[in-house]
Amino acid sequence: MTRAQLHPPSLVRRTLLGLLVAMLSAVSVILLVIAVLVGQQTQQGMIRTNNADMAALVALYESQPPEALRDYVDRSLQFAPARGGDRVIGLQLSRDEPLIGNLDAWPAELDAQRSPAQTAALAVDGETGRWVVRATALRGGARILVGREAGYVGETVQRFLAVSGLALLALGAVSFVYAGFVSRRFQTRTDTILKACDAIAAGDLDRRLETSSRDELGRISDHINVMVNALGHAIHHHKQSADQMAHELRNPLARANAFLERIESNPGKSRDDAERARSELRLVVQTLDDMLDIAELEVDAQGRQRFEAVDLAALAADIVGLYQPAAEDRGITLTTDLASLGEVQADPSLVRRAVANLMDNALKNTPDNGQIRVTLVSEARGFDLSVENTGSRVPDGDLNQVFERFYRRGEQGGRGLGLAFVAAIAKRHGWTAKAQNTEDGVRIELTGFKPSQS
Amino acid sequence: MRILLIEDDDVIAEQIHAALDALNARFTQASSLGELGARLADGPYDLVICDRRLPDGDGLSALPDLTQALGSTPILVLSALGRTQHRTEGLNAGADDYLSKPFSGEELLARVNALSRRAAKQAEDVMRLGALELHVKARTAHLDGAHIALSPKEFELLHYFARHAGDLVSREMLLRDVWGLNFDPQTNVIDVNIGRLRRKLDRDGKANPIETERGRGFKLGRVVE
Repeated sequence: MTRAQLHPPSLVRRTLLGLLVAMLSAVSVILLVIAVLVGQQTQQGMIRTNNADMAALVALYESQPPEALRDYVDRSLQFAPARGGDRVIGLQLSRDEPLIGNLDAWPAELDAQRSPAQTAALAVDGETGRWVVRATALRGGARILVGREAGYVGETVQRFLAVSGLALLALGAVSFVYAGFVSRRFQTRTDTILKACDAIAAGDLDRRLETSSRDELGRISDHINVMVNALGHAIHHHKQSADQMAHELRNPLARANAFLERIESNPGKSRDDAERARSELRLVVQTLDDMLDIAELEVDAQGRQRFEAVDLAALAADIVGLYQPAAEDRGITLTTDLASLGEVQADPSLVRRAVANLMDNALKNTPDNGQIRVTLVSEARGFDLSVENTGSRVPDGDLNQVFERFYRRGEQGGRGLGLAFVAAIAKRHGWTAKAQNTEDGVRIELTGFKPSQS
Repeated sequence: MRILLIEDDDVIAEQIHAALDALNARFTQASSLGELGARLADGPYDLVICDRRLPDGDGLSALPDLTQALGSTPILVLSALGRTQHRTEGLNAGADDYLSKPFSGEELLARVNALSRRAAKQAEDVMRLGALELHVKARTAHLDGAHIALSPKEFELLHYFARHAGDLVSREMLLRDVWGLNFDPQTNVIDVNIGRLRRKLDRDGKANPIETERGRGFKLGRVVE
């Protein structure tokens, strides 16, 4: 077994992992943005407090003696918080004086005159670090520097990032495990469906898929079941008609065989028997052809390409004319009422055959001196072509069966395919064939839609 | 009459020979499409009879070559692919007639006769067959100089017989060519229609010109004056 067979590509796994990666990336980006914003915000805060400190110191310098200033600086530094707000103040009354405050040495990089808010490396209480500072020069040669420890911002952000990163990793791990679990469950259900499909393909047509769930897989299984049902019916139907056909062909073959045996044993009378044997064989071929034609009419949708404009009334009149003399000979009154309704799209040779089969059927079932009535009327959206004959009625339960292959009424002969052919031709055209009992006989009608004339 | 027979089944070939015995035909046989080229060179032929399921392909595929090599020589396709759909395929591919296997020798003879005389008789407007006279454009018929009242369909039938005068016309041919039906109805409708037509051609003391050949078909024989 290859790797691909062991781990077939899984849509669910791919989708879940994709989603997971996308989600983790998005959350990471959001955290980074938050960290940067917090950092900036904190630095702005430091700059604002530096400015306030500076303003207070400048005001003191200008209004109070230097001692008061020194005291103020010492007191301010005493109240500095332990962490997160480490504060530096450096005050030099002139270049020769020592620095007041906790600044160890005036940083060389800072412009003594006026410095905007910036960060600088300072040595404070013996330790060097980065500070956010503001320095300014005052009248009389004094200069002041105030600052807050910049490192605090970085540390806070780092801690925030570390904690949220860990949380994110944990979330990722849990999601990964969950995705694996979901995809395995999905895989198991898919495998069940595939196994059932394989069994059906191998010929187990009674096998059905489980459809306990209404989710996507459940619905797919449901539809596969419906499809297998339909195919099963079709196969059953075909098998049945194949059996039936074999049976139907056996009879004429048996008779042909009997005639051939008679020819063998009595060569003197052979001519009639040979003709009879041939006519039985002809019946076999016709039955085969008709069965194949009917089957093809039922399945092959391509046949509609042969459709052309057909004048139904003229066509029906022509075929009815073929049957008129035969009807008259038996004293049957054949009347027609064929409304001219323009042309319909149809296969003319099939429609001729349908009308001929309807006439054949009517003639066979009408007693001598009975009546046959052929009617073509225009309906609201189409037409209705019916052939009605007097005679025995069809048992009510059989009305739908008259269109089945090999349905025969009573002792009536024939191949039993005439009306099956009519139904198949109707199906090909999208028409419907219907059988009804009338007061004194049977009426078979074809109802069809007339396409809008363009 | 020279006939090119494209057929790989010897039993069927023998049946064809026997059926067309009356025509004194000389047969040249090709058993496959591959052999066809050499046989075509032996022409010309008056008729081609072509099978479909040949060892190396569908006989229909040879029809364009046949038409090109033999011009208007009629082609009759004779095949076990005998359903309506196959017939349509054959006629569309250029066959002049299509007969399905199994076939009766008489049917084949009738078709071959019809094919070989078709061209000559189709164009005539006034057809005289002994005492019978047909005016095709006017669609009128006279027997012994007297007008016969015929329905349009009856005239069509008689015209069809006249074009095939002397030849056997099968029920299948009549259904196909006069009523456009490619099948054999279960009732005796054709016989009854012919019966009607025959009654209109009845004359005292003389045989009816339309002869019935039992189980095989009909024939327009001599119409004595």
